[in-house]
Amino acid sequence: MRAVTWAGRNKVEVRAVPDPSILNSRDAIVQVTSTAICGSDLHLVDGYIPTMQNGDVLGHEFMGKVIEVGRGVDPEKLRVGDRVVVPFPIACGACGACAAELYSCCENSNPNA
Amino acid sequence: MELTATITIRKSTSVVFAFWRNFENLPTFMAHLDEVRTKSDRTSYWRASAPFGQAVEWDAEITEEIPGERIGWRSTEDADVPNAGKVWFVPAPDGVSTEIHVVLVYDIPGGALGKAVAKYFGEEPHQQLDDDLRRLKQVLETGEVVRSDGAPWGKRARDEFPQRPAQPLSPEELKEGMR
Repeated sequence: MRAVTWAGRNKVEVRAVPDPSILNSRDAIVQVTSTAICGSDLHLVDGYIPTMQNGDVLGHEFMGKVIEVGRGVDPEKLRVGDRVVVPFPIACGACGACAAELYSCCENSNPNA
Repeated sequence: MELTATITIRKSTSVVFAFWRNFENLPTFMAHLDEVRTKSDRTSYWRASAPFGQAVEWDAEITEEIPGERIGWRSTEDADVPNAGKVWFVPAPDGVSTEIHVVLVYDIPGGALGKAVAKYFGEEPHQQLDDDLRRLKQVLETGEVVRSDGAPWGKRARDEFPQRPAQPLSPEELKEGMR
């Protein structure tokens, strides 16, 4: 598939990248239909983040369609064909904060928290 | 050396108790344990890694057990590093979670083995127990230890001060972390 990738400070390129695959039983593959550019993407492009590597795919807030789900995904929650909006927070869904819908306070997702 | 730590996990006390009571589950979240094998209803064999490639092993027995509430265990007489532990499972105020309180006691022996053990635990030994409980929370709530490209070994407080510079991991570091 093609993706917008970081190619150095102030350089982005559309390149061919490997198709995504299900790595974890709770993964889902979402085909991006529309996307937004965030101020944080500018931090990455401007070279303020030292862990960026040539070829990293940019983008973290988008809409899309689910085209594949892993075995561990609850079909009540997510099915192939669902149209989804994907925000940037990564949350486990099982801790006390996630149960209270405070996903940005997830107690498990940030290994440094 | 006595270490205490607590954590709250969003699972019922019976689920958390059952997971801990099967001591063979302990190496999934206790980083220093390599293997625990149940020998009988009340005894088990434990093996932990120590520096310089040595393994420390001991037999342990359960000293007390209140289902859903409390487990106590201790190493038997001939252990290299005598140790004992107690864990309490207390219902949390929210009505669905469990507070886990752990106390671990290690008799650090003298001599080279003692120094090696003390060095292994480092200056903040209770940080390792904190990390272990963090991993237990992750395993019980999400099903796995949470890893990232930047920290493939999961949460390890010992690696947070001083922190490594923000650089991508080398292939060797990645391989070491995924081990």
